Order: sequence, then structure tokens, then C-alpha cells
Amino acid sequence: MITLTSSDGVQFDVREAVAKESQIIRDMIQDDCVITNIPLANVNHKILSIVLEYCQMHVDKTEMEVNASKHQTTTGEGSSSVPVALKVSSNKNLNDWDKEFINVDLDTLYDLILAANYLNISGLLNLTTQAAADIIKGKTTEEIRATFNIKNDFTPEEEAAIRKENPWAFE
Amino acid sequence: MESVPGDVWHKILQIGIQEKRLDHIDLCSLAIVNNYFNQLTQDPALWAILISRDVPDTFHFVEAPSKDLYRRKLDWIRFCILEISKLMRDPRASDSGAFALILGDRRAWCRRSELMNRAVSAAAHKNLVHPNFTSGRNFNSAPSAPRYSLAPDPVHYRA
Repeated sequence: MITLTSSDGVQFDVREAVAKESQIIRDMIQDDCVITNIPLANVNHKILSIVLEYCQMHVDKTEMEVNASKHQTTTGEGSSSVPVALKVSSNKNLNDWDKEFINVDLDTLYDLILAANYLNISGLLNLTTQAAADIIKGKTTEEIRATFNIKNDFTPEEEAAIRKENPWAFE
Repeated sequence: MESVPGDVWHKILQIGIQEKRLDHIDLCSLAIVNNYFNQLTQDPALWAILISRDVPDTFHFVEAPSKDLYRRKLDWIRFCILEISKLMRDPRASDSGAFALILGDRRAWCRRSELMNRAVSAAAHKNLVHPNFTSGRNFNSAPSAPRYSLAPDPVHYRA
């Protein structure tokens, strides 16, 4: 087991495999095998618990597939690879779970993106950035500013010039 | 979200384009948001993905991918769609020789004849031409192509 400590001091005991979903933690563990407590200065306990839920689910699914594969090999049923039907069904379930998992408010999504980026969890980073892209999709400039609370720092003249450069896209 | 680091915003746009969640319209809407997004959405790497995704086999320029290159490629596709749309209304188009001539003019613009197939596919996709027009047609062999069927009632198809 490895203990991860959030920025606000809450400790989470997790299996090594779960912690290793993070590339940064994987590198730390490889560099020094005796590490058992890792402080994560940029992730609070609320976000860390969500991140660990994601890692736990993905590790469990992977292990389930491996176990199913081993079972099939020992019972002599077909090849050693994971049965296609099981893999497809497993991926489908995981995709459904991911969709449900990422259905969070914008502030949480923002924190998850930062955490996934900081911890270098590629699957979670892909999932969260795609969710952010979905929020951008189809929105007008004004809607994007309002949704993400982005300040317009163009002067009226600059904005007019920029708008003049882009109408081709909206034709 | 304004305080999201630049590389993360870049990742959001990059993955959004790769996964076909974002398109050139979204990038242009973002460009008008503020100075930072205007800079970010000029990145040639993003437009390179969009070009290879949306307009890969149009004419080739010996130049780096850019927003401007995407715009010109898109203009060309639109031009072809418009020409095909006009062609569908031209009674002479029922004559394969005339069709080949008109098509030949257009093909002279292209280095690769797939362009016309792409343009026609795009036109069919956008409901600009009757499906009969495109089914089984290969514009690579246009000069010897048989007679082309016109849409039964062109007014039903958008110009």
C-alpha cells in the first residue's frame, strides 16, 4: 500500500497499482522503492478522492480482464488473449462509467483537468479535456466568455479587426 | 477556467479536434474571445490536424499548415460545391461531352483528381445534389464517363 497525502493533509491509502496510474507517482516509485508516503501539494482531498475513484475503477477493469484471460488459459478454453466479447463488453461498460464519472460541474472539471495534468494520468487527462472541448463546441464567442468567465481584453478596435478576419468560418 | 495553464488549453483544443468534437468554427469563435485565445488558436499544429482531418486531399501547397491555408482549402471545396450545384441546373450537363469539358476546366486547377470526388461527396453529404448523381460515379474517369443523371427537381436542393 502507498499513502497519498492531499494538499489539505488528508491521507489516502491505496494499492500501488492504483497509485501507479499516475506517471509522476510511477516515476517516483521506480526511482526509490522505499517510498510509502507521497505528498501531493497541488491536489486537495476532494479532487484526490475523485481522481483515485477513477484510477481504482480503471485498475479493477484491467485486472478483471487479465484474470479472465488467465482463467481461460488454465481451463484450456481458446487462446491466451482476452476474449473479444469480454473485452468489448468491458470497454463499453468502462466508457459508460467514464461518461457518468465526468458528468461534473465546471469547477470540478477544471480541478480534475489540473490534477490529471499535474499527476500525469493520461486517461483522465484525455477524458477531462474532451469534456471541456464538448462544453466549448458550438458556442458563440460571447457564450464561451460567459461559460468560462473569461475577460475580453481586446479594445473595441482590436475586436472589430479580429471579427473581420474570421467571418469565413461562419458562412 | 481562465487560470488553466496554456499547455492544458492547448491540450483541450488538440484533443477536441482529434476526437472531432471541435472544428474550425469553434477555433474561430475562440479566436475572438481575447488576446490569449487569439494567439492560441493561431497555432499551426492545431490547423495541421484540422487540415488532415477535413481537407486532406485538395490541392497541395508547399507551405506549412496554418489557419489561412485551411481557409483557402475550404474556399476551394466551397467553390467546387457551388460549381457542381450550378452544373446540376445546367441543361447541357446532361451531355457527357459538355460535362467532361466543364469538369476538365475544374480538374485543371487540381493536382489530384480526387478533389472532384471529395467535392461531390461533400455536396451529396450536404444535400446539394441528388444521390443518383454521385452513386457509382468516379470523376477520375470523367472524360469517358456516361451520361450523368440530373436531379429530378433541382429546386429541392440547396445552392
